[in-house]
Amino acid sequence: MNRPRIAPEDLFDAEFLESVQRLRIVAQRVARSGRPAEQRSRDMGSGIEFRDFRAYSPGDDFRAIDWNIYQRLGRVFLRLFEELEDLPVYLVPDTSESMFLEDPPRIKAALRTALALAAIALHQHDSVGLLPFGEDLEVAVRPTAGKGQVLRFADHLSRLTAGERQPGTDFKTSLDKLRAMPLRSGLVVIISDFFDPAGLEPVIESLQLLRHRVLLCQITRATDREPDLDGDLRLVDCETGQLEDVSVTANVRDAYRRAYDRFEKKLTDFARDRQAGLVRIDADRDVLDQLAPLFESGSLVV
Amino acid sequence: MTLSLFSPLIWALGLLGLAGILYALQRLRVRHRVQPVVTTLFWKEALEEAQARVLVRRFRHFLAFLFVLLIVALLWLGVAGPHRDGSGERTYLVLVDASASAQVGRRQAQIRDALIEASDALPSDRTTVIRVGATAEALLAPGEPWEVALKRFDQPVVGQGPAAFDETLRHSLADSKSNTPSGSSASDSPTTGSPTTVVLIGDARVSDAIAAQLPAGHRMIRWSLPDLISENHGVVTLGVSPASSGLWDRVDVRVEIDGYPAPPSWDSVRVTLNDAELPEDSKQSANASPDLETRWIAQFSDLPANGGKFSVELPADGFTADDRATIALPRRAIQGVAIADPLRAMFGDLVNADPAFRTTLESPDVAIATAAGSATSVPTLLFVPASTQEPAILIEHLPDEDSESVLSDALATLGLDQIDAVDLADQLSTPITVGARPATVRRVLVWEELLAPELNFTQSHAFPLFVAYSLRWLADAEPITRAVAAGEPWIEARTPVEDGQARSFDPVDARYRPRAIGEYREANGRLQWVSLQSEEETRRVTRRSSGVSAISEERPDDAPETVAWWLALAALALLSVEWVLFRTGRMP
Repeated sequence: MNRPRIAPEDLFDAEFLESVQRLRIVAQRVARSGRPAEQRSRDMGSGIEFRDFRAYSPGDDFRAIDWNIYQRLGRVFLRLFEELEDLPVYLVPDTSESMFLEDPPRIKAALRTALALAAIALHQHDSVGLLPFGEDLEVAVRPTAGKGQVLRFADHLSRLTAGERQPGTDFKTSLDKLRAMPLRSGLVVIISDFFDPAGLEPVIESLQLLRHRVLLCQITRATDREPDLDGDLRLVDCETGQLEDVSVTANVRDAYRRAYDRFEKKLTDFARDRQAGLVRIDADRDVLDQLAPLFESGSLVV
Repeated sequence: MTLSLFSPLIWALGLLGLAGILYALQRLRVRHRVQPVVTTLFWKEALEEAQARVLVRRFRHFLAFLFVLLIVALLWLGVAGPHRDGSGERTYLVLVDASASAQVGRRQAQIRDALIEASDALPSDRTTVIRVGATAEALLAPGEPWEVALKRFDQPVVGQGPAAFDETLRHSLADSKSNTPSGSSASDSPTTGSPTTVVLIGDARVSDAIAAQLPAGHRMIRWSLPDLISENHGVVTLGVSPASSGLWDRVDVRVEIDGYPAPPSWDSVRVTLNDAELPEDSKQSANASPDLETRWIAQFSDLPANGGKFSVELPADGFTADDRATIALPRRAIQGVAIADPLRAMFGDLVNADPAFRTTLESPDVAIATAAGSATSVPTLLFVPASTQEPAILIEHLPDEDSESVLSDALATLGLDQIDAVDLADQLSTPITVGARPATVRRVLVWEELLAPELNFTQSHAFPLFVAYSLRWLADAEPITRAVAAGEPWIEARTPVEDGQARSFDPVDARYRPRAIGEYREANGRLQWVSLQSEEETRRVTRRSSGVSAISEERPDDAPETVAWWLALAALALLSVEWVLFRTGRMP
């Protein structure tokens, strides 16, 4: 489907960039004052080797967050290991049709999330890559370092909104491709609604096989669980074109909610079991308001 | 409960058909609103779990189908026209006004239009139509097609007479009660046991008394008709009385007219005697009745009582039936009385003092004699010895008169009720009785002993009355009769009467009522004129009947409306419930 590009200034308006800047400055200020993350023990070995936990402080590298502990304790802790500064961030935003359908489209929240994370990572670490996916994965930006790359990233992210691309979602194909790519171990940030027509199981299976650390940013909205639909409808899947005739009754609504809740639980359970991070971003709310607590106070509402 | 429109079997089959249609509709693919969604992943699971309706597959919403079928069944039952058991099918009695006032202008055309409308509303198999005017004519019997009624209606109305809805209803109610089987309710009609709606088409009034006699379950409604002519006047009363001047052979005539808001000009009123117009000075002053704003009275005095034809005719207006009235004046000639010599001293002054009689010696009309006197062929007041007859007073009447009727009338006609018979009996030591027998000529035979001076009879106040009344009876003087009004009893009619259409009517017990205005001939050849003389008819043409409390201005509709209304309300209530269920998502 060929769609017009959303201009960077529409996607990342001045207010958003300013907020990202504040988020980035906060992270950087903390870093200048002495990042606890830089207090490395010389006894630490090489490679990705877990040595210790430390409570998250503003400015700490979010890549080091131990999501497993967070899931269990509700508090953010950092894993300390030597390879921290060599941990690239691979941003994997979903650009399938489901991200563009609604108003406002989820892609805006997704790309803003991506830019925010890119901005912070670029100022803290060396490289950030951009690998959008839909039915397949592609490399939009090879892992690149440098503080001046933020606007370039903004431009690349904006380009993801335009052009001819395939509408569907295929996590398996995309993640299999990612797995096959000769990338340094890093943090894979998957920004998506995770609506794969094949279901969540293939997604989980593919994620399980990734050798990277995983942060899942699920772009949601309230109508995902409480759809504002009633009557006799012919539902058209915007990605597959599949038709589903449904008479929306109270029973059907209840069953729908149960199905969605199962989906959410499955995703949550996976993140916990895989020790992956799971952040739920409401597409109808300000993205940075939802991300800021993570970086400023170590609190995170999932 | 029974159904009016069709049998229960047909209704059930119809319901099955409707159920089939509903079933087919539910099986058909519903028109869906196309809705793009981000994913159908969860909807698929939900549908499988909720076992939602899958089109063109299994019939899933059986309860919804039953619910809708219930609503349809209620409406279908309402269409079938149910009514409660025992009430039977309602019958209709349509009375069509053909009175004189209903024949004014386009009234009959308006009534015909109303009848056509009624034919659309009323079932012909349960409707009777009667046209009521000078005669009561059946226009439609139950089972006949409505076209027959209209064809009969188009036949000319026979005669002009006053409204007679009361009379027709009275007969109808009497027939209904007499045909009612023992033990059944008076509200049941003789054959079907159903209530009746009386539909009145026209302006003829129905009295409160008749309306109150309608059995329970009966209804009476009036079909609305447009207003009639704006102004009308007519002769409402025509009466004759003995002349106020006292002259026996003269009478006074009183005419009352109605409909003039101001005193009418009597110059425009034509008053004739034997078709010759009366002089202007004979029309006395007209006075308004203090109670009626539009009623005016004229008195015509000392008109000759010689059997002449008196007519009054008003200027023509839109309704002419009431513009003319005619009466035959009585014959009241002074009778000659021959008095036998022995009785002349006793009866002479008495006879001469009576304005109806004069004494004469030649060609008398009546006589007063004794048995010893010469036989006379004229009607005679005859005094005879008591030994010659048992009754003290024996009345010999004409052969065509009835002795019992004569005797019963004698108390008044001969003034016998004034005689103190007890006192006379005491004095004579014998009962005083009255008898009657037919004879070739009228005579009144009285014991001559009653004339004895020692008795009080000749000195009593009753004696001159007895003599005067007896002489009048003997002379067969015509009574003062009032003008005969159409629809009113013709009390004085004694012989068969023939109307203008050569139809003969035999008066029985003074109940004969001529229905139509016109000229009637009695068997003795005497002519009588029947006029409308109806204040109600005169006034009705200018305004619609106010009706009776039992009458409403509704249009008739068929009987099962009450039950059908309840069914419709029930269906509406269920539809509301369905709407709520649908809106809350409890029903597809």
